[in-house]
Amino acid sequence: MGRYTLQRLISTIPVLIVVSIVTFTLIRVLPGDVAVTRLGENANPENVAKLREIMGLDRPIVVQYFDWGGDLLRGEPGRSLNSDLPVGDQLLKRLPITIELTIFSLILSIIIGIPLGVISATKRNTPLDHSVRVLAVLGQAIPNFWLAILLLLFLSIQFQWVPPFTYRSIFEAPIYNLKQFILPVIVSGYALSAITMRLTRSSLLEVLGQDYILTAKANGLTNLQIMNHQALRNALIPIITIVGTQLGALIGGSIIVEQIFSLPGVGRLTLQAIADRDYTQLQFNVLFLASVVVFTNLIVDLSYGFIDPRIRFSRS
Amino acid sequence: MNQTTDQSESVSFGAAAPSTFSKIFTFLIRYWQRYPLGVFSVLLILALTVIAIFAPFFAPFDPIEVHRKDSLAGPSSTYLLGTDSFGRDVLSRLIYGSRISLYVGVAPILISTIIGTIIGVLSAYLGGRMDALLQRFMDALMAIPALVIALTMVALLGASANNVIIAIAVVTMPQINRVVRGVTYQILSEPFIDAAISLGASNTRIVIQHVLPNIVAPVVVVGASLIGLAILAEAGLSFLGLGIPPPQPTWGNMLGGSNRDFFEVAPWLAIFPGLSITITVLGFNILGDTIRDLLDPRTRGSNERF
Repeated sequence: MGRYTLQRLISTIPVLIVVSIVTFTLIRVLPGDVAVTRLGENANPENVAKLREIMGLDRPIVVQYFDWGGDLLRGEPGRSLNSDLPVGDQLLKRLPITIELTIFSLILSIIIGIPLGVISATKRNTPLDHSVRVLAVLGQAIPNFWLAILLLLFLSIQFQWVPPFTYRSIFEAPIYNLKQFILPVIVSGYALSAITMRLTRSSLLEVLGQDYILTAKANGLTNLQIMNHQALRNALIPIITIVGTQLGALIGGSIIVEQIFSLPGVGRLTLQAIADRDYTQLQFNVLFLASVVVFTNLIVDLSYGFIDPRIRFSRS
Repeated sequence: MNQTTDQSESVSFGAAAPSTFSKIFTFLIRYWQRYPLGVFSVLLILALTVIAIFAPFFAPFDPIEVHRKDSLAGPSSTYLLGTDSFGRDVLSRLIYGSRISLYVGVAPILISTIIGTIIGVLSAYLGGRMDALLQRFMDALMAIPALVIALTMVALLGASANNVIIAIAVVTMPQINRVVRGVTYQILSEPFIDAAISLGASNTRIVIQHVLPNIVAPVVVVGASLIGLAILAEAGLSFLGLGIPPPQPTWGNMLGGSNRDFFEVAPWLAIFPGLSITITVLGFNILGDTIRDLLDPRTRGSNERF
């Protein structure tokens, strides 16, 4: 198991290198000059050239890539082109907000998605099942920003309630913080729970049709025992996979959600960096977000061994 | 000569008409009973397509025509779904907006399907180092959150319908590639491929005759669900102000920008564009699910509808 973990850990290195190349190419090869953006469209070409030189943008693109890579490996990802603050510090400052949003959304999606999926599968083709499925299909079709707008609108018109808009951390002002996070978490969590619901239902239906479930029933086990000991565990692998792969979508969605609810998280920082053509900040953020996705997928992969002993033993 | 053809055609048409119509009718009834939601989604998408194509015919007003006197008017018999702060008719803007949503929903998926299929087949066919290289590249593209890539591309290339299409094609392509590569690998290991090779079939012949026909079904299923995703992506980009710029109406930009300041006094501005997006995405998602059920022998004929 330890050796397998190490192998998988090493196998992420080439992916991360390719991610860095893709990130760099995406941001640098496309048109749009930060020097021009900064100085304005009508700037003196001489000044633009000077600024490009100061920023190191006049050197060949490959040299720039290796410079950036070297800086990253030395732990010096550079300074924001816009605010001149270290990009790492900027990201770290925003990170707790995005982590809080992501974790709460994940938890919400699991506590809604899995039980409703189980109910839907066990009460198949009843009105209850149909309602859960409608809820799930809707969750995948509603744009998250529209749901956010509707919730804000409804609460402000009906109850004159508006969530607080200046951020305070959960450690400093817990109640205030939760008031601020409840709507963003509902919006992000609902979309994810829709996918979890559908997958739990279909995965469980497949497992419940297996012969060993029939055997367990014939042996006199109660439905609850079968669900806890045989069915749910076997249905869990696809569910964990999808929850893991949805993390990228959740992070992407957080850009919009953070924007609507004025949460100064990583998503908003990234959006700002895009708007400002702040290459160093944007490159660092994109690389960071992609690494989070790569490592989540790794953890998901490794977790199969803990859930399913067959996978654990076949590896060692 | 012409006359004879016409005559023979009309004769055969006349003779075949009742049976053809009844065939289509029974076909629809049969699918309606088995897949009511699937048939409904097809009809919905057809209706939307007709509305989008004939937008000038359906829209009561010019979508960018300003009626200063009637700004923020509520739904009435003149303005069925109300007006925005410029007094522009919301219904007309929605009808014209459907053009963008369908165009930006379908076009990038066609592009990504073609490119993703080529890369997927090549990757599986070549195998070895080339396969590993191409797939690491795809892994990297999939690791970066799609919205981040799309936003960056549109911001740098400039906000326009074509650039949004390019951006969405780039982020959806790896998913098509993954499906195609998997299926191709599976087919290439089948005994009939060995048989074809031993009979002297060329690579091109194997790909066209054996690989491509087997890829169509899974690609159609993934493609249909990606259309829904593409419509959502366009709406998200336009909402953030990085999609198709105003005054051209899109469902996404009707929900963003300065309109947001008026939602509380004119809720119809918020409700109808979002509803249009949701219903359309719902239509494509249900269509995708129905096709999957139709093609999957395990669920075919069962009452799993979505």
